[in-house]
Amino acid sequence: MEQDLNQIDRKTAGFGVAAAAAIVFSTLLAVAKEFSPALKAAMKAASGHHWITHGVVVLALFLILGWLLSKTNLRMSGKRLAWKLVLATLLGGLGLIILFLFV
Amino acid sequence: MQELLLLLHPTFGVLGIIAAVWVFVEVLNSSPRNHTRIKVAALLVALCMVLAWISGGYLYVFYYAADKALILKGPWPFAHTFFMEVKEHLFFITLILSLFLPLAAWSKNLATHAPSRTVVLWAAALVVLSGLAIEGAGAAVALGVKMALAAGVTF
Repeated sequence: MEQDLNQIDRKTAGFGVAAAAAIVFSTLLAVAKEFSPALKAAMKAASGHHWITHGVVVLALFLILGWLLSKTNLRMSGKRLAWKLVLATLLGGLGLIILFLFV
Repeated sequence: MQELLLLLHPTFGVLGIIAAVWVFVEVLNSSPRNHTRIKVAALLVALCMVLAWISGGYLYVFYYAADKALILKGPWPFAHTFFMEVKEHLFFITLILSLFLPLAAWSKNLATHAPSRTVVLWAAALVVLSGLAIEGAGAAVALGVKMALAAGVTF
């Protein structure tokens, strides 16, 4: 019971981890697009603009991974998930700044 | 149409940031009495950011090419090569956090569940901080266009 009180529910944990993963993936996809013109062209061909494809892929990853993880028994403390979100946002944001500062 | 989108995009963004501040403050003062307000504010964050995404995306995909050409010929090419490039990708981070916020806010009674409060507080704070960074980058892009026009750049 005490453990339950210290932990967040499965849905928050699942979608929280999925959010952190989607944030990091989004930055990695931005890096990949910059270094691979073929990937950027393929993403443009898929929807008419690489940015639209990028958004749809990241959103789909968040929703599908979140739904899948929320069906598992993934449990963690609120602080742990908060740190995952902060770390992902910092990594994602700094990664984009460094990428477009030097590329 | 372009002018309307230019107004709507940052307006929805700012309203989303304000709603996230609202969530943050309500959660700091969480009680059974403000649980509904937290849920409504968290939903507003997601709604405003989705509307900012749609309006900004339409603007970016269909109208931005002309502004981009001006910026790149002008004295502030970094307004596109750095600020716009970072902005258009950073937005996805804010969008994902904004969509996660109502999921976290609606899952438990935050007044009685501290771990969920921690998650919602941090998610709201990250939406505010990343949102403000995006608003600043947007201002830099607009200034890039103005600088080009002031320098006499034409198509």
